[in-house]
Amino acid sequence: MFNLCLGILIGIGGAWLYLQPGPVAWYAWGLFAAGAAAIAFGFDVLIGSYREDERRAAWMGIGIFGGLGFLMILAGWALTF
Amino acid sequence: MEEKSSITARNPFKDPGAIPEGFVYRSQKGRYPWWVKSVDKITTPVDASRWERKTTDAIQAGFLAATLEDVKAEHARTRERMINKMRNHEPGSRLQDFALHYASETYFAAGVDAFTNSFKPEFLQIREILKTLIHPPEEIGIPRWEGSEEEASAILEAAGIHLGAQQVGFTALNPDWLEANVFVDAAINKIKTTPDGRILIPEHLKYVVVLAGQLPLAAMKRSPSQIGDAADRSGYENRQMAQERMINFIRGLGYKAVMVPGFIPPAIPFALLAGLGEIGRMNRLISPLYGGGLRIETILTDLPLALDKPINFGLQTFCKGCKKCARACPGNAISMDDEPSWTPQGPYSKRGKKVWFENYDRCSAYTDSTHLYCGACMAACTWNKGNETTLHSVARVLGATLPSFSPLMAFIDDLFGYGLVPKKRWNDWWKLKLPVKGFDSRRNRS
Repeated sequence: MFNLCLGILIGIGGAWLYLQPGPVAWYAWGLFAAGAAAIAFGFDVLIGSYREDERRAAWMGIGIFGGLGFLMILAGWALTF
Repeated sequence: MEEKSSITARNPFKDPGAIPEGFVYRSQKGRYPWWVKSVDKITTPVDASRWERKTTDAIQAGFLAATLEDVKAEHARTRERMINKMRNHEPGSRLQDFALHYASETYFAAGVDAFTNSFKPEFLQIREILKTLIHPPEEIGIPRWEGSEEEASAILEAAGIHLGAQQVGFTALNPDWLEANVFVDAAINKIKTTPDGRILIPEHLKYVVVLAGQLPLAAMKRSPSQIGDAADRSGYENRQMAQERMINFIRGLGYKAVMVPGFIPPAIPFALLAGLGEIGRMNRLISPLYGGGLRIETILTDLPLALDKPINFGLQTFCKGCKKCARACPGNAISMDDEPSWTPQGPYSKRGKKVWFENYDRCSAYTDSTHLYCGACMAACTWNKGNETTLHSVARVLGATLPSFSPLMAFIDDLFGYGLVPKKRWNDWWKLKLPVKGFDSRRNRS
């Protein structure tokens, strides 16, 4: 279910980006893609670690990988809009 | 070499650490992920010229010591301390934790009542009774199972997993791995004990089936406590039940199958040769799939098998820098040296291998004083991980391919909070939603 929701969200985000009126630079696409992957990985660590009763790993995972992904998307956003 | 083990039989091992000649080997392709390499020699250096066989090992010495009056008195005092912990409801030592520990070894028929330190030979009769529950083909008048060595190994592996083993491997009997009073004799057909106490194994029982029973990770990480001990005991029970069942399966095919004889028969050397793991800093087997949470059991058989090969996943380099097990050991019994050594620690270690020898006296002093099996070293191992997040898959690949970076990986492992669970969270184990028997047997198979 998590994978399905994640796939739908990334699909919506990518479609929205594609439908923007102005051109989106290749490096911005790269930043958005890498950011989405990092956030997905962060959620994978968060949910998996909770299932394993590794609470600290869960929050470290979403903090580090999710945070990194968020910064990448923020950078891509700043460069595009 | 001090004493050659073979009386009249040929030893197929020219080099004790290398795979033997004259056997069929099955393909190792697909057995492990790509980062686990199949090799022809175990990664632990072995020197045949310095090799030493012993009958009395550390555990046996502990049993013998338990017969002395002063040791008995000390055990009684330790038990009293443990009971006081129960009365005081200390985390991991409450009545329910204690009950879980001893219930976990209900079928662990080793014959030793660990709580009272008494030997109960009646337990051994259970094993004899279990043998009557199979009816070999000669008994029912049909021919025994026939097939190639590869087919035999394939069905034994499938049966082994069904019967409760987490991993199954195959190797040949190296007589020099056996205890000092156990020999291979080509002139006999059945295992027999001589009047002078030697145990003789017939040469045709030359194939070794190696089974690994897994420890439940969440309970194991609550070591040293009664909950941690429950994990330790269920690991022993898992391996022993898999062994008894596998013996009956092989007998059901029409072949002989017996436990490796001896007081505490060696298991790890066979597991190394069968490629179930490598020896790590804690001087125990570490599996690339299951980490340190395994218990090993072995079976001798005359069913011709295709053998497995040893593996290398970089552990000898990894363990040099990680040291997580040594830091976790409450008895300071695990070596902190950067390099392994040929020099044994104390009278119980066996010469002839280059490992990080543990200080058994310190380990024993801690476990005796707490009346716990502990197992903190195995529980803290960096390679113990579940299967619920991709992070572990990535970490395993990095650990095996960049083992020199293990100090950094151990630091990150600590940063993420992996390893032993703090005492304040020991009792939380009772609230966890765990899989049956506490372990995910799919681990790292995806």
